[in-house]
Amino acid sequence: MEIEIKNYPTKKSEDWRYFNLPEEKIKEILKYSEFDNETVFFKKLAEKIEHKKYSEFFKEIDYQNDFFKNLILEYGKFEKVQFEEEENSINEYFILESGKVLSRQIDFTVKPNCKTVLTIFFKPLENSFLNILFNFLVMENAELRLNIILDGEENSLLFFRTNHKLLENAKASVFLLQLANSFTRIETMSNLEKGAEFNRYQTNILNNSSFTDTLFKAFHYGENSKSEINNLSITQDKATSILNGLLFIDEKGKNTKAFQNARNIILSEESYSVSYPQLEILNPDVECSHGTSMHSFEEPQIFYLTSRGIEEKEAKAMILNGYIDFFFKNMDNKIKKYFLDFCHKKIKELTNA
Amino acid sequence: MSKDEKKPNVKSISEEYKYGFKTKEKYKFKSDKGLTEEIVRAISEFKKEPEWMLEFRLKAYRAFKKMPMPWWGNTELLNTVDFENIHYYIKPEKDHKKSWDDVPEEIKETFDKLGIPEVERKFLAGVTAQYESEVVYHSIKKEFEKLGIVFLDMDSALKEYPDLVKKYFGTVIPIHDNKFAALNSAVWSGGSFIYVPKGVKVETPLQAYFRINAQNMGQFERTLIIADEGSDVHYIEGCSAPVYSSDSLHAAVVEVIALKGARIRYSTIQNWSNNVYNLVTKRAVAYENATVEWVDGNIGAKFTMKYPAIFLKGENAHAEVLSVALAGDDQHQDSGAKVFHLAPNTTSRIVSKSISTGTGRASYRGWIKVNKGMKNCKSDVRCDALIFGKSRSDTYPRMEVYEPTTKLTHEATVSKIQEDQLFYLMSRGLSEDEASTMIINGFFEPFTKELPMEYAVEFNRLVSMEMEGSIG
Repeated sequence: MEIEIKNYPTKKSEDWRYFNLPEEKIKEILKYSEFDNETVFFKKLAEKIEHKKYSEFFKEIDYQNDFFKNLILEYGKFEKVQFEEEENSINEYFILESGKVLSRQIDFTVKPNCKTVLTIFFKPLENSFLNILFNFLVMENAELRLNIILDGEENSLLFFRTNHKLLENAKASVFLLQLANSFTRIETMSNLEKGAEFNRYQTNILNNSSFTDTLFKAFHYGENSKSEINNLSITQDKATSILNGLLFIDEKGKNTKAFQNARNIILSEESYSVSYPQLEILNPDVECSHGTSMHSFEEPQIFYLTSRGIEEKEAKAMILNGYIDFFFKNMDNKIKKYFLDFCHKKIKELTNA
Repeated sequence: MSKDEKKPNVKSISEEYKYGFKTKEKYKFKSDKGLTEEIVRAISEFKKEPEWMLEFRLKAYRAFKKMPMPWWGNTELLNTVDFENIHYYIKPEKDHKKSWDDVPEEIKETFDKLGIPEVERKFLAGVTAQYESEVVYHSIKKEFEKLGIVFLDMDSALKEYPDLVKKYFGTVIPIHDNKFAALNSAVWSGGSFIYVPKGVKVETPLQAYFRINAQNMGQFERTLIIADEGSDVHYIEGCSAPVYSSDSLHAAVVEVIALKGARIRYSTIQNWSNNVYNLVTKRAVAYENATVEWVDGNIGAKFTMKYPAIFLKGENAHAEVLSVALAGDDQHQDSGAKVFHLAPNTTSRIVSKSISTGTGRASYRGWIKVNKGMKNCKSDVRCDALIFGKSRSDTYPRMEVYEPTTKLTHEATVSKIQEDQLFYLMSRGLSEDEASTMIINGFFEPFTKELPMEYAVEFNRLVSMEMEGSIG
């Protein structure tokens, strides 16, 4: 079955009307990338980007048929994977060499009544450009658990996009850990049919001048569907975290439950956070909410720990680890440990603990 | 009452719209449809304005011609605004009067029906009534005049206090802010001017009432409120228009300036008829220790785009926005609030409540921004929406924080009336309609309790009327 993601009800431009990526930032990224001779198409577009501001550039993009998609279509590789066994578990470790460009589209199908756990670690090295599109078709009563770690090195450019089509009573859970020092754009689109359930947990732990720009949209087209989108973002140094989310409930989406949550912890004067959580609801029979908070450390928390003889930086690391441990509480234990090890290491780096 | 006997659904708000009457058009001058430089010059000449104002208008006119329509929001509706089919300036037969008896009979009749002189007698400190492009009646009680409070229509203020007007006019909302602000700056007429001297507290509210009577009319009033250090003022504005088959445009600009330690509350109950585009720019600046409160109710209009904004420019300034919207059949209420924290220790609170029913659409659009270095700012945003029938409810909040010591929270919920709430009330003997009305009144209570009692009662009555039969 072909994957079909419906058109987005929000005007394309609305997603980007507030965001600008400074021109010099784009130039900086492009300066370091060495493109293969055959990627003339990319070169052409790259020239264009240099002369345009990021926001303007994105205004013209149809998300499903944009230049990154075209890049895959023209020069990238396709892979098709189909899981037919009842239980599948795949672990991949993917490194992209320094200075290389890679575009790839991978279409996954999880057959009815099957369960698949997919864990992938992406590490694009310095000055590389990784452009990945996953299409997941999760068929009736099937379940997908997706665990992703993105750990790009400095000056790498990472476009990570996933489309999820959940058929009747299908379930998908996505756990995404973003540690990259790169410029990263993460897009997640999910389409929920009757009784489908989509849960997404994304944590960004960012320092240096990394820039993470997340867009997610969950479209509820069937009745009794449910989505829960959670984001936790910790920014240090000159890092930036942007979150742009939409929960869309169609007229047919009777008895839908949809929730989004975003917590942004800003740790330095140079870092910043932007949240743009949106709701568009066309059916009255729903329960929807979203909540966002932006803050730094709470004084009483630090005081509580330091008054018990814990050093301040240790205390800060403990608090952050606490947020993260709680955030990933719904993960499978084995993989959770793997995720948390990464997180704790990065938190240590952030707090000098 | 059985379900079948229930009152019919609200098919068209215009059927129920109490203020939809029209009176015969009698004008001294009515500009041709469409906007030209000549019309802009003619408005300025009519008003015998100083040269700088004409320059301001012309600059704005050129900007308006060049500027694009907003590319965000409900562009489908926005693009149906036909700038060529609007009368930009209509002057009623007589100039404005200070005595109610001198106001021309037809206009008096209009405002009598709206209850304006009645409320003035009861509890207001002053009233301005604007009919089409000009203020037709204006008064302020003597005891308040004695305190040095200036409450004038904008045109008179320009003549009587030219320096004060020149100092502040267009400083909060510049010409190039958006296309409709540019349009207003080019053709503005009427509106209120308020200056409250240092330390003066105006205990009773000042009110303006705006009325569009003509078909295809554009009303572009301009309001400027300046509260000097330590002063306190409450301003209320109301508006309505007759029901016509073709559309009118209301594009006001409101600039509010709260100097050190001042407090301004600006309350609006917008109840335009269902054929008015209400595209308004409202913005306030709050300096050190000042407080600005927008209390904003949107019930009428075909399409509203209104996001009262507050720039917190001085330390310890506080912003408060309370916004409610009711979108009935064929209405789109796109409202919200913006607060920019531009000084340390500033605080803000936004509460937005909306109900969409029938085929209406209610959108909340907000923006909180905390600039770098602005320590210890706090902001709390809460949006709640109730949704009925085939309506639509959207939330578009935006939060930008560039300062780590900020504490910002945002929450939004969208749902229909909870069945357990209905059950609770119905089990105590209320009908479904009564129970729903009670829940809805409770839902809007944070708004109504901030209004003077007369307004709160009227607001609840309007809401009940529009919600009639749309529940259950």
